[in-house]
Amino acid sequence: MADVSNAAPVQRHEHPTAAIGSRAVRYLAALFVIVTLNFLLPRMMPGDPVMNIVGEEAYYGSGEVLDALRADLGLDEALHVQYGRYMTGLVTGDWGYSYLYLQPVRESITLHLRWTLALVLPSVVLAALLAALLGSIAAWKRSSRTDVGLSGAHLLIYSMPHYWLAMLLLFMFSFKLGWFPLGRATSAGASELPYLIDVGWHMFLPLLVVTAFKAAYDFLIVRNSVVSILGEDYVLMAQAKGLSGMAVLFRHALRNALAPLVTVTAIQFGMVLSGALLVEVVFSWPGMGTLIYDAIGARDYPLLQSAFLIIAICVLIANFIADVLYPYLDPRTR
Amino acid sequence: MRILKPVLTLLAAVALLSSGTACTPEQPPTPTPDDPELPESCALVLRVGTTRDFKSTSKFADYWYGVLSNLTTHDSLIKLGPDMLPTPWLARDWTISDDSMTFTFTIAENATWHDGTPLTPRDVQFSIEYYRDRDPQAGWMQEIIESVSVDGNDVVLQLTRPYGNLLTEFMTYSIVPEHIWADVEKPLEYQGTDRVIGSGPFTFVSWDAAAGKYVFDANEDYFQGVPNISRVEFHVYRTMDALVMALSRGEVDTWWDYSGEFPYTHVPPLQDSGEIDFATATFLGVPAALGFNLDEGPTVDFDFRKAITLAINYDQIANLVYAGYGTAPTYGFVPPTHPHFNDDVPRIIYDKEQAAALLDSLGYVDSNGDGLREGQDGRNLRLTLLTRGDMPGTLRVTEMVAADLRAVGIDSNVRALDSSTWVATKDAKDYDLVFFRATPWGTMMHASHGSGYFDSRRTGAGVLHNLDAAEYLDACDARLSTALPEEQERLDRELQQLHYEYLPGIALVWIESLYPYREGWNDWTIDHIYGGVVNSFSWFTVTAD
Repeated sequence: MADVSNAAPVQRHEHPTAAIGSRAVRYLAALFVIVTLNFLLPRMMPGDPVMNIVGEEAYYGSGEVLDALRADLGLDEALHVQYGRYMTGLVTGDWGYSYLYLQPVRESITLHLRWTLALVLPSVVLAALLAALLGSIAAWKRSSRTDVGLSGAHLLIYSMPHYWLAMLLLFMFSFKLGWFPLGRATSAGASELPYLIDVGWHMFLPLLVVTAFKAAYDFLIVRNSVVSILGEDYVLMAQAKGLSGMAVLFRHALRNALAPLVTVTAIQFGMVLSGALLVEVVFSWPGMGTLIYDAIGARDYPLLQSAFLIIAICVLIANFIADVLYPYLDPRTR
Repeated sequence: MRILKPVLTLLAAVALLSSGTACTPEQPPTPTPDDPELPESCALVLRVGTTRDFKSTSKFADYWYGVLSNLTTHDSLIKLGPDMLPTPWLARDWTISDDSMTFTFTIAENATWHDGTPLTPRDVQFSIEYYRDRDPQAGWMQEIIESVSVDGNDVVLQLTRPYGNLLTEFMTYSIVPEHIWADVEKPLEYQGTDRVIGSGPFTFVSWDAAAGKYVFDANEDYFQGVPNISRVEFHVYRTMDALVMALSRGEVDTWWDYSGEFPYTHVPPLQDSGEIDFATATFLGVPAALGFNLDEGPTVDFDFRKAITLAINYDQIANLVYAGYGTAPTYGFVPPTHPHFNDDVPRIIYDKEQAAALLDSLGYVDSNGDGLREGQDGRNLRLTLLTRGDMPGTLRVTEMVAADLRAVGIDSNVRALDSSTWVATKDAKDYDLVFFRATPWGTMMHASHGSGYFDSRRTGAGVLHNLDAAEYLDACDARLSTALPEEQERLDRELQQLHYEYLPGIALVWIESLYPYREGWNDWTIDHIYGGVVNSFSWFTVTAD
């Protein structure tokens, strides 16, 4: 019998398709847990959504009016019945009816999600690009004035409260200088190209704030990654081969530093989606943050569970993409 | 260059995706075009800024649009006049039977709906029945209104019991067209584009959620004449800071809110700008109030409640939170703006020494010298202060009261909760002191003069329903069952006196409200209940230079 005790461990190489399939199963399991928590958590909060509907001053007698409304909304049913209805609705595309907006949840979310994505998608990409560029330069010129200046500036931005910077920009560029509107997503009445230009004009300042904060965080990740990679032998080798500084930095060092940036971007995607709340409030931006804030206040269960589900799905997709991209960015992880 | 190509491709893809999400203007809720051009004859446009949280164009589903529609597109039978008396509106006259069981409203003959259909007494009958049967916010009607009938040009309401506050109630319910709503089973869910049609002085033009803008045009066929203003726009901001900047920059002409006060910190710079004037009026509601738990805890004792009222520095609240635009209230709860104000009820005074002496006499003394009084059980006296964390003004007042209580040896546990949790905690009576605000309408509801907040039989998310003293409940019943003016006056005064004698709660401050408007606009009328200069009366009095 062959002695296998000293044999090299056998490396199992999963086929890429199988690897993606196995990840997909894990993500589906995570999604199921998230969906269940989304259902349970809002209902564990104190407060009655029906009371919010009738308002602070409405007289509801001995409660028959509230009971009728509760029955109408299906809130009088046992929790497991509501859960079953919720899960069935998710599968069939019926996400319920918002108590707050008094319209199908899908309509409320579609309306707000588009504005959040319009703000978040470019900010995530722009921030990653800015961070990659400036972080690499700061690492390449480590301890120079450029590095100190860039690191200091990014740390300063990162340590500021979002809403404070947003208020500052609104005050300076909208109020004092009048270059930009005092918030909201559009001016009413435009269409086609003028509409797009108008949206861009309204979006500039909130986009700047969200991008700045995301870039500030990403910058520190990229800078530190590139600094550590610049000490690797293969970088020395590349320099010894006579490659230009830029080629060494962007082709060899930065490429290997991208994996952490992709991971962080994926993890932060959900935070950026919902965390733009204060920026949305300052700029009166009709996005998901304000929707969720209002839904929590009103205990709007259908809206809350669907809004959180959308965010969770976005985060899962972002993580899935990161998972898929990772082996290409760093072949060692294959 | 190798890296530039993917970067540019990525940027282009994101730009496309981003523009794709925002490239289609939202579906307007009506078939009317968004923000159409003003006709040449339309000269006067009033732009109003607000921070209220509008969501739709449904007066039934969206509370704030419901309030706004009462100012613009819809009419109520009567309105509360600037003199605080019921003023004829769609009902040009009314009579009340001696037993206050039959109310007869004579409807204006020349009113029409915005789609050209005549408004008839049958529409009024339908509206009242519709609210009674279908609107969960009008639950009181099911108890009170037995039948509604039409007799010629009159609409006759037969009640199940005398109800003296009916006129006040009807100030907030607007008449809706039967030909639109008759087939609508669930008004809260109705999405039809004709839901904005009313009979009011303005017709709905557009609502753009992304732009945060409502547009209404003057109703040229309005039965009371054409408004002085050709178009009124409501611009919605999420923060008051942004709104004040818009006011300063001339993007809006005035401010509107129902039951809110314009932040006093913004007043001096606006005054200094020389472009903004302010109209002032005593606020009809109570911006900061305090209620007591009358069921359990030390606050069950009247003298203890009295000691609490003596320990609070009312002038400090008025000066620090309301920038000196406030005054110390009386024990009667409602401010003098209310009709039948009882000036015999004493003003609340701040007297720390008297509060301390009263607490001493009740056996709450600091025996261990730690600065806090102990109760009979030897433990430090610690009160739970329930307040609203989502209302900065209320929270600040609570913190000031906590400091005042500390100064007389009472420790506090401040529980600052969001609205929904506050309601649940308040209804569970899980507090010693509860902080709230009374809206202008809130102080007039039920048996009026703040009774809606204290009568233990009254239910509602914002009310305390903490006082069940028979004398008080009888007074409320008596006030509710009479429509005789002299009897109402007597009972209004009595209710204020009973607030003093039973102390279910107190106002912490009465304030002067300030309503900013751009110079050049003149002759505003102030409406106490709908919040300032933007109201149904101003449409016909306001002028511009």
